[in-house]
Amino acid sequence: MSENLATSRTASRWKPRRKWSQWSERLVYVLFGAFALLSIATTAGIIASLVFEAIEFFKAVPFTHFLFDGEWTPLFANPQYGILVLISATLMTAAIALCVAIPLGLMAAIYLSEFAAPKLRRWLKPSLELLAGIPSVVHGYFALIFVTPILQALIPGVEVFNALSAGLVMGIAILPTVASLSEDAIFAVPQSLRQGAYALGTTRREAIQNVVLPGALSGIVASCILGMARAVGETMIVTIAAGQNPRPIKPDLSFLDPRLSVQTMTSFIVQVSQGDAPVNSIEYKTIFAVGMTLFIITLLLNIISFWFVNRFRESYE
Amino acid sequence: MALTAALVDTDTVLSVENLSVYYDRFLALTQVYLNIPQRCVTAFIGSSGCGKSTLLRCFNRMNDLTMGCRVQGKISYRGTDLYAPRVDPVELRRQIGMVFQKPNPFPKSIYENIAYPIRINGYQGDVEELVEQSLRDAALWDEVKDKLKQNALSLSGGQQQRLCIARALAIEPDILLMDEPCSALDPISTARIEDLIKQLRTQYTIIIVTHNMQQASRISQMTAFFNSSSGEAGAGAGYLVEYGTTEQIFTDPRQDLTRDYVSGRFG
Repeated sequence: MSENLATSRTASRWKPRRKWSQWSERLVYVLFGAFALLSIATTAGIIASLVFEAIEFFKAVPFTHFLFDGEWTPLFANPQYGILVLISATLMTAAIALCVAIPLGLMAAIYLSEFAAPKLRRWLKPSLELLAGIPSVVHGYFALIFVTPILQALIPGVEVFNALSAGLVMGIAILPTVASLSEDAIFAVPQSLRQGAYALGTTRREAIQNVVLPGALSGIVASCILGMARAVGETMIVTIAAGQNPRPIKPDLSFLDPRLSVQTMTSFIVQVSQGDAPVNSIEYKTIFAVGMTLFIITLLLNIISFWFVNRFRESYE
Repeated sequence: MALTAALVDTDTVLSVENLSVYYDRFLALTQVYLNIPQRCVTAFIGSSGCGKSTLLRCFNRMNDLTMGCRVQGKISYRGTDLYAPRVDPVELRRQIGMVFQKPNPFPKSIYENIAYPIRINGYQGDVEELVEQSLRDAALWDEVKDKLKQNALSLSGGQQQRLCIARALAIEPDILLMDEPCSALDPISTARIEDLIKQLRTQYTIIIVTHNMQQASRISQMTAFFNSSSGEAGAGAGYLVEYGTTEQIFTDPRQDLTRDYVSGRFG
């Protein structure tokens, strides 16, 4: 294939199998490239099916109704499709989850990276990440069977299915994500910055608060946004513990009462897809419209987090 | 090994007596006796791994932050035992400032880098004024006065290091420790920092670790030469070979090892 470039005196002793290695190089390139493409193609396919079915849906239901109607009753005789009902419930449960996950996760992350002895950290962090491996169905039943009765004993008016219990347990479910990613960000702040702070006569608390945390800010915020994206997309916990009760949007804000049963976007999709909605019926198409909305929200959150990390990341070199 | 007799005088700020430092079971520095005089530059020279930086880090108890580090012997700072239980390392580091090998400005604005230590240490005067004064003292003011709000990480390496010096000077320390402050810098930045050190030595006590013997001879009045017992870097315990005025160490060393080192025969 190529000309013989070997000019040294011992050239006759060297006979590399160039042909074969060229082929194997090309094979590896094509094979691995195909696998990389496959994952992109799958994603594109999912998005395409979402978009096509959602377009079908919007042929039957005007976009303005979808956005501005105050009720969500797609399975009724006289259906209404106000997505805000589901979005508000989704954001409420996610907000409750973040109220649990951000403070606890951040404190755990700070403890792990700044205070825990290396030996302790070595087994504490993996066990925290193990918490992420608990199936969400277990979390869901934990909320329904354990947390809800406690809430009912403490707070009057808590229904059997309620947003509060689901949100609190969802917070525990996303806690490892927030804690682990924040810990990575805090741990990545160069040791030289901590030393620089201590050398100026700062206490440990001051060094953490004023130098280490600001240095890790982009990573911490990204971890919180990622936690929120997970909470928005979380399905089993809200389906089991928060019920299936879409609350109409009313000026008295009763739809934001966390003691009551609500329906999130994800639990609506579960409700319809496990039921007997015939393919191509309007109920069937509804889940694609909801799925599309959910996808757009989580995509936006991911983009925000991506932008934030790039905008505020410090390069210390 | 105690060669300091001739140097003991009234204006000693730091006095080291029989100091040994361990990292876990590894003996890094052994039996050092040394007196650091006030308001002059003392240079620590010697090959890598002979305990110069370790000793420097004992002076502001930075070693407290290193896991497994143990200090034996005594260091007195103006008569106070540095390692006495009632000494608060936070308070001590406020008196004994430090500049590191690699510039380590905080990821904040240039202004905030200086203002932060000023505020945190409860300065009662005009913060803005002291920021400007510190930047002037570090010969950086003219270069940054129009961009004080910019991130400090946007400065060049030499500017960053002068910012770190300004930051250390801002809290008006008694002693300034410098751990190879020019090793990451180009020759022009190095020259600027050396000029700066020469100016500062009239007001501050400066202890500088350097690998550059010319630098030591240019800027210091006192020089301490360290070596490690096995002769190989990092393998054996570091110890003080000879300590004297810079002139004496470089022109009339009493130890053969010192002569070999300063004449460039090894290291």
